[in-house]
Parts: sequence; C-alpha cells; structure tokens
Amino acid sequence: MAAAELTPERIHKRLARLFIKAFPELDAATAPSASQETVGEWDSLMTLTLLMLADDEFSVKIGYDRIPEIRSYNDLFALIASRLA
Amino acid sequence: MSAGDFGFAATRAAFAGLAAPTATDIVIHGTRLLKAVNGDCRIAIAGSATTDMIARAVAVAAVQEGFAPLVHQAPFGAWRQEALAPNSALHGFAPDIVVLATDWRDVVADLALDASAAIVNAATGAAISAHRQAWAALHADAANLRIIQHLPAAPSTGFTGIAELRVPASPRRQIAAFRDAILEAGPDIVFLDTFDLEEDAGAWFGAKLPFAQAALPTYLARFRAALRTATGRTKKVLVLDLDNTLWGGVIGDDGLDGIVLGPESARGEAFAAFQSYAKALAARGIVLAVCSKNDPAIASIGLGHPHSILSRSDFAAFECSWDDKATGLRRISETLNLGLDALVFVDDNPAECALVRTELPDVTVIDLGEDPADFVARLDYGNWFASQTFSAEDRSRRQAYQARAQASAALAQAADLDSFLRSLGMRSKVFRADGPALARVAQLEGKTNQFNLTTRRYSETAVRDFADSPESVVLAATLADSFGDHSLVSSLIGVVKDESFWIESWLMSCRVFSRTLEQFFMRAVIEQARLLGAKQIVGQYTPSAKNAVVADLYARLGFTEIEPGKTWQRDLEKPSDDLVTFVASHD
Repeated sequence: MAAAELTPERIHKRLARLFIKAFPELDAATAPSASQETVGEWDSLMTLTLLMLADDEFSVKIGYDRIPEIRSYNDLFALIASRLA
Repeated sequence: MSAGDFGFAATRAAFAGLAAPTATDIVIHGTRLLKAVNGDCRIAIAGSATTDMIARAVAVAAVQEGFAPLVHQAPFGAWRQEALAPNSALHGFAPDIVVLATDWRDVVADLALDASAAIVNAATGAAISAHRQAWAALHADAANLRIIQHLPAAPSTGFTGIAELRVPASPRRQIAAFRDAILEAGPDIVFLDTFDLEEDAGAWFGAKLPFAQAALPTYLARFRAALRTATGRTKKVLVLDLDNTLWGGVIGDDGLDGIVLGPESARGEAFAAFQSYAKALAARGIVLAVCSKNDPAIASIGLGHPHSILSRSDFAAFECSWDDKATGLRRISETLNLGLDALVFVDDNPAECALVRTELPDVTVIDLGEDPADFVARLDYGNWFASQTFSAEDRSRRQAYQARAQASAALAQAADLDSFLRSLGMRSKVFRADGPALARVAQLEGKTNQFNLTTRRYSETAVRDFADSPESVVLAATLADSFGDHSLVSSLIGVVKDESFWIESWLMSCRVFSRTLEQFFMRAVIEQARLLGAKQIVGQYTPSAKNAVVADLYARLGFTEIEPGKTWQRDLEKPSDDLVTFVASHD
C-alpha cells in the first residue's frame, strides 16, 4: 500500500490491531489509551516485540535506542506517523 | 481458564501442531505464561545477560512439553551470587529446574594472543570452576534439582580467521577448550548448546539480549529437548509412514518397479537420504516402527526395493492395516511397551497428522510435507532424539525392542474416529462424468489397485461408451476437506440389466478410503439406480493380488451376500439411513 493512503485513521486502526495481538486483554476501544502503567505485561521486551510487529505492519524500522521513550500507544503512534509522513 | 492458569491450555492449543512457531508467538504467549502463580514445574533462570526473552521461551516450551510452569528470573547478571548464596531468592524459590544462561562473555578471558598454553588452561579452568561451584551450591540443598546449563558458543564474528584457530589464546580456541572441559566436568548436567543462535548486536547493546529475537524458535526447540532429558521424557521411537514417506508413490498401486527410490532421480535420492537418516538414528538406539495404511504383505515389498536402505528387520513394530493411524500407534505403544509420549510419528499426509494430534496428543507428530528433500530437516528441527550421552545400552535397545515385538501380541483399541472425521469438514459431489472427467476416470481405471472391486481396467474409449449409453452411467466423486481439494477421487460404472443396477467397476483413491466417502457415494448410487428404474443394486468383488482391502466392502455397505465372497445385492426399497457418512454434499 502506498504511504500516501495511510491516513492517521488508518494508522490508528492498524496500530490498535497490532496492540490487541500483543496484549490480548485489550480491545479496539482500550488499545489507544494503553501504556506501560495500564498494561501489566508491557516490559521492554514487549516494546521490542511491538517494534517487530510495527516493522511487519508498516515497514518502518525503529531502532532499539528508542525503546526507553516508547511508553504508551501514543508514543508509538507518533513515531510511526512521523516515519510515514 | 481456571484460577492460576494463565493460559496453559490456551497456549498448548495455540502451539499444537505448529511446527515452527514465530518469535512473536513465543513472546506473546510466553508473556502471559510468566504471570502464572501456580504450576507443577518450578523453573528458575539465572544468567549473565537479560533473561526476559529466554524466560518466555522456557515457559512456552514447558507448556508444550505438558507442564504447567512457574518461572522465576534471577536479577540481571547475578547467576553466580544467586547460585552461591544459600539464602538467595533463587534458592528460596525452591526450583525443580535451574537454567544457567551463561555465554561466551563469561568464559573468554582477555588474554594476549601470545599467552602460553598454561595461562590459557588456567583461564579455562577458572571459568569451569565458577560453573562447578554454582552447580554444587544449587545441588547442596536440593539433590533432585536438575540443572540445564547453556553451553556457550563462539560469537559469529571473529578477528583474523584461520589464524585464530592456530592460537590457543584466541577467543575461539578458549571457547572450544571450555566446551570440551565443561562437558567432561558435568556428567549429570543437561547441556543446551547455544551454537548458531542468530545474533543481534543492536539487541545486545540496547537490551542486553544474548541472541536475536528471531532465534527464539530454534532456542525453543533446543530447550524442549533439554527439558525432556531433564525430566526423563525422552523420545525413543520413530514411527514412519511408508508411501510417499520412505519412497515416492503408492506401493499397492505403483508396484515395486513404479515407486521412486534411489539414484535415478532427485526425488528418489531424497527418499533414500531420508531412509539413511532413519537408519543412522536406529544405529544409535532409536527404535524404528512403521504405521501405514496398507496391506501388510504388499507394504513390506517396498522395503525389498534394490535401493531401499531400510529393510523389514530394521523395524521393531510393523503396523500395516486399514485401521486409522491412532489405532496403529496404540498397538505400537503396546507392542513395545512404551508410552505414547515416547513416539515421534512422521507422515506426509496432513490429514493423518491431524487425526493423530487430535486423538493422541501425547504422540509427537511431524508433518513432512510434500518435498522429500525437506524431510530430514523437518524431522531434525525439533531435536526429538537429542541426547546427552551415547552408551552401549543405546545401541542394543533396538534389538531388545525387536525381540519384545516378536514375543507380544498387539491389542486393538477404538479411537474416537467419528470426531476426527467430523472435524475434517469433508464435502463431496457425486456427478455423471463427462468431458475431461472421463479421462480422469480412465486414468483411475488404469492405476487403481487396492480400492478396485473388479479390476477390469476399462480404457478411455470403453468408459466413454458407458457414459454415452442410456443403459449405463459413469459416476464420479470429488472430495474436499479442511486440508484442501482432493478433486476427483472415486468413480463408478453402473449398467442396468433386468431391473438390476450392476456395479461394473468402482474405484477410490486409497488416500481418502475409510473416511465414509464410500457411504456417501453409495447413497448417490442408490438415487441414480432408482432414477434408472432399477429395483436392486448388484455389486461384485473379484479378488486380485492387491484388493483385499475391499473384500468386505459391500457387506459393510449393507448389501446381502448372494454368492459367497463374490456377489452382493442391495434392495432399493431399503432406506439408506444405515449408510452413515461424515461427508456433506458439495453443490
């Protein structure tokens, strides 16, 4: 899919799906507000896994050096959106 | 999900039959499993790097091996003090199993390249004694505790190539010396080799992960093997299918000259290589068995092929029958007096694999796929027959089991075949064959030997004549199931004479036989015969060297014997409810 077609809404939809895959207790309504504080299973390895999934889904490579700053759904959304812009 | 069960059952279900789970699957399921607060297998992990990734794989592996694991991770990098201090959290956890995840960084000393052999030996000795001390301290208050020790391997990057292999102080030579020495030092330790696990420098620098996340599936398979050894649940028997597993083709249909085996073709070479692999496993103590849907007399002919590496005497159990494979595997387990969990079953047919997974979850099932060139790798991937030592006893085990097999009689048990057949979601269409379907019918006439009631082998012209005549009919059946479309798998030629519908010929591919397609097909034949004004259906059986499998077919389909062993009849007024089928009509 061409990057131009990826509106913020579409990114949200696909990112929420990705979060639900990683954290099955989330759903479409709760995924966008997910953070390390609200999701007990979210540790740095899960962040790494989210980055792998994001690479598969959006073809964006995010370096391990960004792991400490990705603490919520919104953090990852912002990173992906900026890469796709 | 019950209290304290953080997805054990769900994980087991998710990974059942998954030959190669992805790293992401392992992390996601492992993450949930690490939350468990109860378990029947307490596993502690201590290492010199981050163990979070290893812990996920360990948890998934334990569930796959039938345990409910409770996993404890020692603090980062603290393997020595956690093992040595009797009051550490690790000792407090009272583990059944401790995984010591050390790597080359714990072993390689920073030595000058021209350091003497004595200095190198001293450094290796120090690394060995650090490990020995940890083992002794762990065993001090728990004699039954089992230790799974990572066997450190050299990093994939070197410095100066071959030169390093000539200098005792090089990291590679240090690692090699350490590996030899630690294997010697720990006869009761279960080692897990970490060679060739994909590295990821970024993951090391960023998160101190000892190997790439992508290497998790390989690690998982190796850990499962180590866990089986540590818990005394090793695999002992390799159960092989015959047709399209040990040779290409169907021995009952293609005959000894028609099967593909040996140096004449690439496929033949691949089948021979797979046989050699099985033979080599047997030489080191793995018991071989056969479980095949075949006539036993015909099946063993294939092993007499001039290029067959395996011979009949290599097998301690030889189950050839038309029963389903779960029944065959039960008999093998009884004959050899080994638990079902000691069996590794390989087959090229995904439906057979699925049946066994459903009916006998304790049996390890490997779907070999279609390309014989992949068979060895697919079997080897799971490290099913990995062992820590090699003894004379291993070598004699096979003979012992063979003797046992000859002495004991097998008992049959019924499997829940119905639920399996239902799960296949089979759909079929029976139709009057025309056009290209007639060519396929003629092809079946030419090559079907086993499910062939009369073996008359009608030519394509003859088949077309039957199709064109108003007194006769050529019926064909397709079959599709959850594994795919088998297309045209059965055909029947019927001729109406004196109000009787005579079955001139009936053929079915053996791949789908005994899945109740026969019953489904017969229901359609009954309808057709009624349409043609017949009052009864007459079926005949003409024995051949290979069609014993259908000798009682008409009796099983509710026909009455009118000429013993030869002719059967079914009244068309009789309702067809007795023909129980799990095949649905496909429109």
